Amino acid sequence: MILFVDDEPREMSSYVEELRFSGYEVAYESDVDSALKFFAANLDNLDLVILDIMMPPGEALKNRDTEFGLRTGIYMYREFRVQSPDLPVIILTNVSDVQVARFFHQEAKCIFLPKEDVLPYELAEQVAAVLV
Amino acid sequence: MINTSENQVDAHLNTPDESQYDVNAALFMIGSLAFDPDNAFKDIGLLMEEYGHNISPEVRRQINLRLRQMVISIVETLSKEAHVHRYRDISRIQESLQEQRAKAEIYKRRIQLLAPSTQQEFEASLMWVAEKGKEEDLDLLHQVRKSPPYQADNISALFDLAEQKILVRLHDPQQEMQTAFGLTEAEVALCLLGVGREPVSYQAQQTAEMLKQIKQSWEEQFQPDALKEWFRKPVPLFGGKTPQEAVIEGRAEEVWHILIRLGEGIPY
Repeated sequence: MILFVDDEPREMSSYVEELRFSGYEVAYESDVDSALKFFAANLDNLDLVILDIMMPPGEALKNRDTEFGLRTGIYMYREFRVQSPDLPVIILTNVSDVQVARFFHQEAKCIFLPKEDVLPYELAEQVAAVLV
Repeated sequence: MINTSENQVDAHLNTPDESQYDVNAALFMIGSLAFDPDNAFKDIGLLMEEYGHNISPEVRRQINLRLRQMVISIVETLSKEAHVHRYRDISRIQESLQEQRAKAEIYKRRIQLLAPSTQQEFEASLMWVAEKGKEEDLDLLHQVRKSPPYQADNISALFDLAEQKILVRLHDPQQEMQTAFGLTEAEVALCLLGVGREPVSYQAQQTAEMLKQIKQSWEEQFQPDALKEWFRKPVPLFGGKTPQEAVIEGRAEEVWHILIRLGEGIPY
């Protein structure tokens, strides 16, 4: 199962539909708190997480320095990694900051994809490559 | 409005014989996606007034947003179609489609910023402008800030961050790029334009952004002056071509990724 976390469900609907069309089971969560709960409850069934970076921090991350939501996904990623160091993660984001990109490039089992460059079918291809 | 009927798509993109495929016709058709909903509304509005109806601003905004989203959906569908059928000159087609998608996204975000449906949508649009906004978005931010649709501490902070980030992005003129890469003005222009790109195209803007990132990455890891030499040195991963030649071919992002890996100690 794929956990897809992004606070803009309307914008992401074509990506989710494409993944489902390609045969993947996708659980979509649009806020930090529900995503963290879902992750903890379904950890054993998850094959991959697709994660946005710019999201409201919710209750769980409200005391972290997320730059008012601009970097929330970095903290979520770290939470996921603590619980599951080997789970593949695809970062799908509008963030183009070089420091952020470099951080994720250096992470194992992690792919950094700019949203503007990746169409839904291309995301499905990346997912297929990760889940081989 | 959108001059893209299913028949036209079939005629231009679903041609079974690849050799018959007319790239220029496809590009022309894709260009027709760049319609202007505001002009369309003038026609619709005049028509409806004749029959005694008006379109409220809220309905108008919703229709406008949906039209933008529709353009994005059409682009995504056409891109997949072109990819699946491996059309000739696919890179030109994909570039053109990406350009239309990016334009639709920018307009959509600006509409959402001016008249959001929810606070969440408003915050998301502010975050998007912070990361992607351009000079003209500064005026829009100032206008919205005078009378914001939602008020909260984090929204005020996001306004500040968005303005700061746009100003930082603006502060890196082409002159600085020439100095950093050791290029003449014409060489910078060639890097940005490649072969056959329009100066204002999405691809040219993307290349400019990537060159800034390459420069920044290099300066964080190596002696700034050495960039000029590296930029002209053949790289095996590019088939012996130099980073400069790769950028001209439209592969600036690949150059940046290789530079990051180089900084991590991964040889090429």
